[in-house]
Amino acid sequence: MKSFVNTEYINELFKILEEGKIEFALLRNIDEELPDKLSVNKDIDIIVHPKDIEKLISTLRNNQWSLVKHPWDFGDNFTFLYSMDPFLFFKKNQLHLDVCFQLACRSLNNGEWFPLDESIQDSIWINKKKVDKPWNYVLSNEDYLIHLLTRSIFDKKEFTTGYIVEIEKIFPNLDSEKLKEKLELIFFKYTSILIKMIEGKDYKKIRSHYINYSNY
Amino acid sequence: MSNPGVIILSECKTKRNESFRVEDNIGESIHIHYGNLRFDLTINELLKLSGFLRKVINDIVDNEGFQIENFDPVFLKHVASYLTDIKKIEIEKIDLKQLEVNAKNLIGLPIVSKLPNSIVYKAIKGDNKEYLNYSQENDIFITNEERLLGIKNYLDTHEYPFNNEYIVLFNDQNIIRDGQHRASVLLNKNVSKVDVVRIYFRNNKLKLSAKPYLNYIFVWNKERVFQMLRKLYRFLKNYKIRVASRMKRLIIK
Repeated sequence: MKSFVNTEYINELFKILEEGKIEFALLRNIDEELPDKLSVNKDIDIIVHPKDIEKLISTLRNNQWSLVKHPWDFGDNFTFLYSMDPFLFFKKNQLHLDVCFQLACRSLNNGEWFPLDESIQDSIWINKKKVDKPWNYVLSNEDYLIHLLTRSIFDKKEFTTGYIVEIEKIFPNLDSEKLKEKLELIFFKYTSILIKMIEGKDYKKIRSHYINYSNY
Repeated sequence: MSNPGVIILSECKTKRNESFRVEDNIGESIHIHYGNLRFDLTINELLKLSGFLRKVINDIVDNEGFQIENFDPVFLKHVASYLTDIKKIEIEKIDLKQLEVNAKNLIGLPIVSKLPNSIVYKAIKGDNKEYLNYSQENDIFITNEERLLGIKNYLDTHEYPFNNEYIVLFNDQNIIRDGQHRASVLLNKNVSKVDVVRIYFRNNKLKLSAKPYLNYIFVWNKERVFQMLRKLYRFLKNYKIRVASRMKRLIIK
């Protein structure tokens, strides 16, 4: 039987962040696990504005959260390029908090972490969306789609069902011009094909098609 | 603007120790980095350049038996500086069991062994532990297992030597220099004799020792010193990145 994190702990976490005046947004909520179906072996993923890193650490520490080694940190593999801020991982009771400070993905070469274009980083904080949930803010739909796509293509190397559901939830309502403009910062000339493949729900082929793309 | 979809297609150091790297920036362009210079090319431009360079190399080598198209590009990269030393190229028939490979003995020392003892042949026969961990230059995103499977399938549907891509031997030695996978698959298919291409170099260049373990133990040649320094450099470079990353995390702690 699955064991879930106490919802009160989750609500309390977001309250602490809000009271600490930390600028943050929920990064993703796949399968809508938050706030009441988060299993104890899963973490909460948020993005925090880099200006608030120190404030985040002190606020959480003052509330009995511990900063622990990131579960993905196996030494050599945990490299952050272009002055990107490393992820931080906090723990309290059954709850785990995974914090990033930039939208990023892993490079195809050696899997180093790599921040996406600066204008996308700016967009996170300009366009974040207010929601009536304990976490208050989520990424704008365009930025969220970018996050889901880059994570599937570069990090997870596949589109899982949970991610596809999320993509299909937001994709039809997006401003296609705005989206194309942003995606071109990452996928360049492949962007139009990528959009067509999402429209055609051709998720299984996207990654290998992208890697083998040669029309440029 | 930085492209996360970068694949390094090839890289090396020139004789003058300048770095040379060809990168595929997916969807954007091909970058050729040479020292401090960067050339941006479309894929068509890269293909045109590569066709032109093939012709140039064929002309420079100027040997009627040599056609660059018949050799694996990765293999050519490793012998590039010796191509002008080619004296003669012959195709001959050889018993697969006479072919040899570089291998390691029980205590890890390099030896020359017969083809049936190669890690590739052993992997085909089911003992793939050593092969799976073996570091080799495969096509991009292809694992050792996939590479072997690909060659097996290829030889099931194409007759060896398809496109004149022969197993390659050097001078009077039977040590396989290119084509160990092909040879192992053919041996497993109970083929006894195959055509191979034998390249003779001036002054027996590229001749390997029949007892490589002696070199390994006693000879500290320039290349080995260079290899050790390169390993040390890589270690220190990675160490610096790791320390910087840890320091950053410690500071924000």
